[in-house]
Amino acid sequence: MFRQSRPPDPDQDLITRAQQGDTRAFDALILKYGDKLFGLVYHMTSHKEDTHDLLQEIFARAYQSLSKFRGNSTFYTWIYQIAVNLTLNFLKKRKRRTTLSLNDLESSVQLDPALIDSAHEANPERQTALNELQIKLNEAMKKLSDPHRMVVTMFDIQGMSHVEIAKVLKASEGTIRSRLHYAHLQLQSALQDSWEERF
Amino acid sequence: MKPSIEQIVNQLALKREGRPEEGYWQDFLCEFHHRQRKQAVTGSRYSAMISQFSSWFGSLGPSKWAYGTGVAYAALTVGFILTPRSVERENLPSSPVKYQVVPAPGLPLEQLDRLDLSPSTQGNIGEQIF
Amino acid sequence: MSALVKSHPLGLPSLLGFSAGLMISVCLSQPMPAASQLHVSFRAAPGGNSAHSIAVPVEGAGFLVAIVANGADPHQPQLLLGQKKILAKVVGFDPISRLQFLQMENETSLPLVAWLPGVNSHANAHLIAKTLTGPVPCRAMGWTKQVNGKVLPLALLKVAFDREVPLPGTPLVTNGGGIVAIIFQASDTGKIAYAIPAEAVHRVQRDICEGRPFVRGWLGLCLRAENKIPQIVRVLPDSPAAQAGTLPGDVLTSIGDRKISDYADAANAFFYLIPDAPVQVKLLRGTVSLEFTMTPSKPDGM
Repeated sequence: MFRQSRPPDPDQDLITRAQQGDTRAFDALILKYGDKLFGLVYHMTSHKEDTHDLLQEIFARAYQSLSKFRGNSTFYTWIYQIAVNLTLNFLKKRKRRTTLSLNDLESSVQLDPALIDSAHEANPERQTALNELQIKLNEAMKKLSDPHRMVVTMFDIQGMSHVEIAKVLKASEGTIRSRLHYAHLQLQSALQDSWEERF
Repeated sequence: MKPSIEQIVNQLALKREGRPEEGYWQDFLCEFHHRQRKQAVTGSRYSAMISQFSSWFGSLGPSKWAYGTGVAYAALTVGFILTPRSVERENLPSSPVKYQVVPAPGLPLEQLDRLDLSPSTQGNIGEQIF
Repeated sequence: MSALVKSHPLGLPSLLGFSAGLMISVCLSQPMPAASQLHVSFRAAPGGNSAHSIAVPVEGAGFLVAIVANGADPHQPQLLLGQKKILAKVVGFDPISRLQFLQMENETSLPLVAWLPGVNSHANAHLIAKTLTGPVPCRAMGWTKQVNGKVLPLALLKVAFDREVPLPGTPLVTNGGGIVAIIFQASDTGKIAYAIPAEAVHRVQRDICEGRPFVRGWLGLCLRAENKIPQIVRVLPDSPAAQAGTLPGDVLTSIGDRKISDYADAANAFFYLIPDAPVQVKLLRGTVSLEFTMTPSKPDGM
């Protein structure tokens, strides 16, 4: 029986150089995956400062553990797992530390590309309505439990497949699908009164 | 009316292009290197100390046990010497202390109408209406 | 590189430290692209001095905010990008806060900048000043409510620098990049800055960018600056405070979300009142805690 060969990690060269002490190689990895991890952490925490601090921790942890990275998964999957674990731990601690009201968390209005009107000819009235909808959607997302918000962030916002998510979260594909389905139903229910036909 | 799942998913997908503002990652890298450097300095001092001590202790051979006992005895003796004891004090004659607390006079504060921090700026005194 | 690592007596950690140190000195020596390279030049007012301010994007198409230093003329500012002149019109100027709002004539897309709404959590934070030549670290040291024995119309954030204070208008951001305040001016020592919090910029912008002067909500209650406790000494008849049932002798304890512990806290809180926007006011009458909803009006004559 032949073992199916895995496609080579596109980051192999950078990883090897970083493991040998080339800090610029690790910088390149940060720049390559920074935006994706920023998106993951920000949509989970809804807090820009916490996102920044967590990202510093995630990349520091990855850098410290780089020598232990054996290539059993791609570098991206590996660092994504670190990000998921640290973010979930942080959220658990944040809940225990304070009873944050949803209003204490930053509105993502300023940073949410869904709210930016890049087309000058867009209908301002429609844009305002869409902005309000996105705000309601953000509020509904915050009400999901951490594991449910995580799968929505990874699947719907980051565009990962069920298989990829299952690998990162070390769960079965079936679990991921049902968690996602439940989360969608929760969001649907939360947005019931905010939806208008024109959307 | 309820949105369909597809409509919700489409709204969520709009967030996919979100990224931090320009210049963020340059600042991030600077901070990241600063933290790594700090950690490297702290970590290298500590691990150098530990590795030096370990290699010295290991090179002692059987006599390391005698050294170990001696160090423990010295630590106990130092601890004994440094432990504070109750000290006998002379009974000093007590004298009654008389004092009176006088509240400090209130400083007449002025209220500035505008943000003008110049020392010569006059503010309003007395009653302020808000 | 790996041979170098293996042969070095202290191994990888010190080389990491060296590389990181090299990288950080490269970062600090080169001018970094700052979030706000727009700046404004103001002419001198009669008897005053010309001034300069960074111009920071705010919400709204092409809107910017700058500080007009005392003694400078707010009327004909020149907006610049580096040395290049940019056409802009004055939207409005508030003489209380010295905030001026401009709008670029040709609506260029300005960088999206996050302004943080609640600034109290940053009152002692490590911040970064986004200067024209790059980011400069600084440290917030709490609130300044009075200077030289005079109570300010709004509390300013006191910020310490290791070097000379940057230009007025320089945005102060958290590690995450959100603006918490903009520099108003330096103190006499030159290494301490006073900064206007983001919340105050938003409050003034709310009025100015709607084409009207900045107007604080008025309640009709009187306090005295020299009283240590924020005690109401008089309530004007038919005022929102009178209609709510406030009496002389009542001591203010909170206005909206702001806790009031002294007169200066009250003066700061009043800065943010919006005409016709109801606010919860808590006060102490003797030992009894009371809460009123008051709707500030516009001051007489406005």
